Amino acid sequence: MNILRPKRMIISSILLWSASLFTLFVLVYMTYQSLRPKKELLSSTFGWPKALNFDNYRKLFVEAGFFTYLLNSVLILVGSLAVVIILSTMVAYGIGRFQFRFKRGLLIYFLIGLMFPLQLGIVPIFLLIRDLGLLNSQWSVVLVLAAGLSMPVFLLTTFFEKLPKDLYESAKIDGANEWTTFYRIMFPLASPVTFSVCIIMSVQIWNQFFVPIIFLQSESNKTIPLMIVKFTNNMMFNFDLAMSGSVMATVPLLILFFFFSGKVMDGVASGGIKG
Amino acid sequence: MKGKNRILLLALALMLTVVLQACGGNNNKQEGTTPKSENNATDTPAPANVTLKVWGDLGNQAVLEEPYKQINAAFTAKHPNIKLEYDFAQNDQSLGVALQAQELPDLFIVQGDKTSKMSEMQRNGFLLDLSSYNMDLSRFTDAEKAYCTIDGKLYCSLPSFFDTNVVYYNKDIYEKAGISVPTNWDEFVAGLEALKTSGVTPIALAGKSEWDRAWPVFALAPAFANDVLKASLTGQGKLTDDSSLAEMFQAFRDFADNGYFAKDFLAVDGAGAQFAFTNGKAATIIDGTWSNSTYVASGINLGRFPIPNKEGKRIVQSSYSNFMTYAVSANSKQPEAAIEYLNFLNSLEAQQIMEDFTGLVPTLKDIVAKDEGVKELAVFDEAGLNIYSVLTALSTPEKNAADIMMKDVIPKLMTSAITGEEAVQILDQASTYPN
Repeated sequence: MNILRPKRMIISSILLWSASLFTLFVLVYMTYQSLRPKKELLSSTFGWPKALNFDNYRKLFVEAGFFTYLLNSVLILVGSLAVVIILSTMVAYGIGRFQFRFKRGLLIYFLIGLMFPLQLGIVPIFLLIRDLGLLNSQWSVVLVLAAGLSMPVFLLTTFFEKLPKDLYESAKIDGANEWTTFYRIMFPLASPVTFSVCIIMSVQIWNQFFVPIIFLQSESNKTIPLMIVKFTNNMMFNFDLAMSGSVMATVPLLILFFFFSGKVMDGVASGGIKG
Repeated sequence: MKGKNRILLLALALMLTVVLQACGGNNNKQEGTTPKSENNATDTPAPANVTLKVWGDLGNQAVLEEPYKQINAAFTAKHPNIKLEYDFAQNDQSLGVALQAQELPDLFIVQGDKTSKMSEMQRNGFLLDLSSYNMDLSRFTDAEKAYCTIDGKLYCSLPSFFDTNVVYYNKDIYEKAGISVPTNWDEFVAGLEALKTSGVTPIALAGKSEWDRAWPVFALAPAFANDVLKASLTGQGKLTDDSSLAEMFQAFRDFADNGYFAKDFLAVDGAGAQFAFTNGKAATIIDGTWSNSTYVASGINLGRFPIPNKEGKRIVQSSYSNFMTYAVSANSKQPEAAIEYLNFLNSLEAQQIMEDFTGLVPTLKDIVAKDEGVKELAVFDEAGLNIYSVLTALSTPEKNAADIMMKDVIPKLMTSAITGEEAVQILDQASTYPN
C-alpha cells in the first residue's frame, strides 16, 4: 500500500530516477571509454570515436592477468561471507532467542566493533596473522574481513528477537533439538536478512583495499582493487587499462545485485505458522 | 546426540585451523639464514641458496613492473644462488605497519635525503649501515653519495636518474600563436600573454591536487632564487635575505591573477590538467620528467623547455629519482646477498635497463638516453635546488616548513589571499636554520 502522498511520491521518484540515471550514465560512459585506444583517449578524450574495439580488454585479460585478480577477489569474498554468515547467524540467534545475564552487554560489545576502524588495531592483527603463518595468503584477508561481525550480528539479532516464540515452541513439540531448530527452521527464515547482509558485506569486502595491501604482497595473491589502484596510480600512463579494469571491477557486483536485489527487498516470510 | 554434535563442531574448528596453517605455512620463513657477520667483511662469500625479499614501489608499479622484471632476471642470471622475491607491496601504509611490527623485507625503497623518512628510520635503527661493505661507488658523484648518506654513513643504493620539472608545450599551438621557445623570463611571460590573447589557456594547472599544483613553484624556485635556497640550506643565510624568493612566489600568484591558468583551475585535478594539455585545450603544462612518456603517448606535437630566468639562465630543480634507491633492513638475515643486489642496482647494466624502459633523465654520463625526447629534458645550464627538499631540511618535527608551503602557502597564493612577500615570511617563520 502506498503511504506516500502523490506529490511527495513524484518528487521522490524524480530524485531517485535522477540519481540512478546519473550513475548509469557514468557506467555507460566508462564502458564506452574502455573501448577506445589509449592514444585517442588522451588526445581526443571528449571527441567522437574513430574506432571502438576490445583491445583494452584483451590487454587486461591476457597481459595484465585479470583472471588471477578476479579469482582471488572471488575466493576472499566467498570465504569471508561464508564465515560471516555462519558465525553471525549463530551469535545473533543466541542473543536474540535466549535470555541470559549480560545479554545487553554482549550486544553492546558487538556494537562497539562498529565504532572502531580496522586501521586502529592493524599492527597487533598483523602480528597475529604472522604468527599463524598466514602472511601473503588469501586466508589472512578472509579471517580479518570475516571478523567484521558487528553489523550482521546487529541486523540478525533484531530479526531473531522479533520472531514469534510459537515457532520455536512448535519445533520443540515436534522433537527438534536446539541445533535442528536453528538450522532447519530459524536459519531459513532469516534468509532475507542474510541476503541483505551478504549484499552489504559483499560491497565492503569486494572494494576492500587496506587489508589486502597490508597482508598480500605477491602479485599472484592480489585482488581486483589492488589491480585498479595499480592502473589508476599512474592513471594517464595506463588510462586504457584503468578504464577496462574499472568496468570489469564493477560489472560482477552489479550482476550480483541485479539477481539478488529482489531477495533483499522481500519481507520476512509470513507463513511460518498456521493461523 | 548433543555431545556428538559438539565434538563434531570442535573437530571441524580444529581441522579449519590446521588447514589454514598448512595453507599459510612457510610464507614468511627465511631460507638459508646465515648469522650476520660481525665485521661485515666483504670477503665473506654470499651464502648459498638464499631468498631475498624485496619490496617494490606500489605507487609506480605500472611503470616499474617491466624494467624490474628484466633487472631481476639479469641479477638472478649472475647470482643463481640468490632467489629474489620481488613484490610491489610498498606504500606508506604497508611500510608503516612493517616498521611497527618489525617485519621489514630485506630490501625496500627509500627516498634518500628528499624527505626526512630515511633519517627517521636510520635514527630508529631500521637500516643497515652499508659503509663497511666496500661497495663500488666510483661512477657516482658526491651529490649522489650525499643522497644516501647520514652522518657520514651510507644507507642505500645510489640514484642515477634525475627528476625535474619542465614546461611541456604543444608545438602546433605555439606555432599558431607565433611564439617560439623563450630564451628568458620576459619572453616566457610575453608568450603566455600572447596565448591568452589568442584564446588558448596558457598553462594547465591542477589546482585541486596538492602536488601537481606545486610543480610550477618547484620549477620557478631555482630559476629565481637558487642562491637564497642554497644559503638557507647551508646556514649561511635566510629565505628572506633578498627579494628573489618573494618575487618567485609573486610570479606564481600573478599567473593566477592574470588568468594564465584555466578559469576553473581550482577545481581541476591532476588527470584533468593533463587531459586539458593532451587534448589541445591548454598550450603548456608544467610537469615532472616522469610524465614524459604519457605526453609522448598522446601523440601531440610535443616540445619541452626549462623555465629561463631573467638573465636567460636555465636553472632547473633537481631531485634524484628513487626508482632504484633501496635500503637494507637492519634485521636482514642475509646482508651479503642484499649488498649484491644493491651492487647490481648501482651498475650500468641495471641502470641502462631502467633507462630503456622509462626514459628517465640520467645523471651518469655512461647511461645512454632512451631517445631525443629524453635528451631534450636534460637541456639546462645548471642543476639547482629542490625547494621542497630545502624546506624539509629546514623543518623540525614541530614545524614542517615543506608541508606549510604545500598545504597553506600555495593554496593561498592561488587564491590571491597572500602576496609573494607574505609567503616568504610564513616560510621563514616556519624554518629552523642550521647553525
